[in-house]
Amino acid sequence: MSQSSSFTNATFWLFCRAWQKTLRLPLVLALVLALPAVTLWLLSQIFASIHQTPGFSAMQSLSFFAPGMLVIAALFGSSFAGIGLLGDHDSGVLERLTAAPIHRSAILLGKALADGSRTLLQALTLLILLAALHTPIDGGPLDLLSLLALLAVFSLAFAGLSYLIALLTSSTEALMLIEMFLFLLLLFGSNALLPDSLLPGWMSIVSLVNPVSHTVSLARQLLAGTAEPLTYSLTIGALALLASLGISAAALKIKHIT
Amino acid sequence: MAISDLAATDAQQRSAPTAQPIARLTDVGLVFRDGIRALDHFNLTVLPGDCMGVLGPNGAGKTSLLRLLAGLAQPSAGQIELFGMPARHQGIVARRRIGYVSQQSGIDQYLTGQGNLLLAGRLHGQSGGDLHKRTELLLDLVGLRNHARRQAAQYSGGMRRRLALACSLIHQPDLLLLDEPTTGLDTSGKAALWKHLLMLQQAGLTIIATSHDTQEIERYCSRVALIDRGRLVMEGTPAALKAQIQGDLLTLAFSEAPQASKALALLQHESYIRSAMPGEAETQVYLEAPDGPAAIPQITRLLEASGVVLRRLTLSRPTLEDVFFRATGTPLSDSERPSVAPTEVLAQKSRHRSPFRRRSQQEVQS
Repeated sequence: MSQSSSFTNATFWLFCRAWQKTLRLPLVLALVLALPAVTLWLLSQIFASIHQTPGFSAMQSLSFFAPGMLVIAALFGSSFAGIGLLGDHDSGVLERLTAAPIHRSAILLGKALADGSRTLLQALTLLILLAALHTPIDGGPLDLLSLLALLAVFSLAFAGLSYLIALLTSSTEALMLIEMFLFLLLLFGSNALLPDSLLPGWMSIVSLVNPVSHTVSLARQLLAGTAEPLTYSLTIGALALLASLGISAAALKIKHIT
Repeated sequence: MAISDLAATDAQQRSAPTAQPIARLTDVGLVFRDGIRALDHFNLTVLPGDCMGVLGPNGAGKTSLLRLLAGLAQPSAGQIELFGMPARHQGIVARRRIGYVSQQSGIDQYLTGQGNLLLAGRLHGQSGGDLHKRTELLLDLVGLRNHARRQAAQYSGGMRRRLALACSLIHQPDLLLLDEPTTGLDTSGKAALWKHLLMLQQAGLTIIATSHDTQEIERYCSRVALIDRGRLVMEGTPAALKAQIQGDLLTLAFSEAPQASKALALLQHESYIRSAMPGEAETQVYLEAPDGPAAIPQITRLLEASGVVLRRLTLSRPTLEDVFFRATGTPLSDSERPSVAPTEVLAQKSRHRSPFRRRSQQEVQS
């Protein structure tokens, strides 16, 4: 008997396995789903008087913060995806998977897709909540679907980066510190919390090369129904490139760590 | 019943055995990034149907050897052939025919026992009724049918090892690589596991297993490879290896090192001693004698006459540990060494054989 699973099948079964792992602890899933909503509510309370701030005049706080929140939740979830991988490494699961007749990138892709789909659930929850709160959403169904696709690819990109850092450091502590540093840098160096016009000079330059900023801007345009197909293709293309680079590099690295 | 069914189906589906080696390592070297040589000019040939026991002290390169064969590491030098073809060019193809159980077992704690088996099967491209049937058979084989739907996280250490073994058999491999398969199992657990392994071996499965336990290797493996510091020291059937030490082994213990060296000098040229060498400790001397019990009174008389005070004398049948020690000059394992001696005779008093001695002979005969 010499069979092996196709790349797609292996990815699918490892995707299922990652979800089974998530569903073992329903509390975690509940918290993951509640996180963006709770943060959004907190932010809108803190910045209740934000309309009076100059650059905010035309914006309602909820619809300004919502896209930023979606992207931040995706960034947060995928930044720490590497922790699960290190757990699998320590328990020997990763080695057993590596010894199976499957492509090593399927191991990572299956896991990243599961992490990405969790982000999608988060995003859906938040969108439903926004609709329930009568937040003006001007984008059509196609815009909303494009938004979900954008968030999924964004998650894959940062999960790939997280896997790579995890495999390079093979230390949970190091991974947490590096990812926390990156997270704060990407968050505050972006337009997720402040409009571009309010960012101080040098930070607007950081924001210019920050993938989070581009994703947040695009998410705002999609919710407002004003996104350009060209901007969308360029942004999602760049993120997809980042994702495939990260996951391939991590897959190459897997050989050395197990 | 189910187990023999399993062995029978595996035997039917396995391609006809050939004389071609299952695995052949030629001058293989493996150097880690920190410069440590895990394997060095390593040569080994494993034939179809072998049950090869790999014996060596910690850090000898046992795990590295299995990882190379499993495709988890690449050799820095030399050639590895698997199933008659260079392993380098096979990649996934070779991994399809190999089952591998690491020391860590690698069980997925978030899945049930059955879930672990199903996932392993699916990653090998199996599905549907065949996979479920095979899963049931394997759960029977390792005695976990009643625990199939429990979380693997709740399993005991022994249950996890048995589950890991079942997972490695899901795709009817031709070559099974086991890294310390019986660590953490009690005596009856070990015996049961080996019984199943030997049944699978009868069906044509080739097994390579590492172990610290000399006795289990002697008893169950058809061939033994002794390895030390990344090199193959010796390879052959357990009987052939032990035949290198003819007769009995005597360990002499003294209270001081000078007494030991004096005794060594005295005994070296006696006719009833085949060979004499310094022991592991400075205060010990190892002797090989064609007839141990007959040599004891002669030894004690000689030492007494020369004023050397013998503290203790131990008589034992040669084990693989002794073979290893003789070949390398280092013990196989420090901690296991004292417990190996099956008999202790106080030199001055006892001349008859102890009951332990008789049992050890029976073991050797069976």
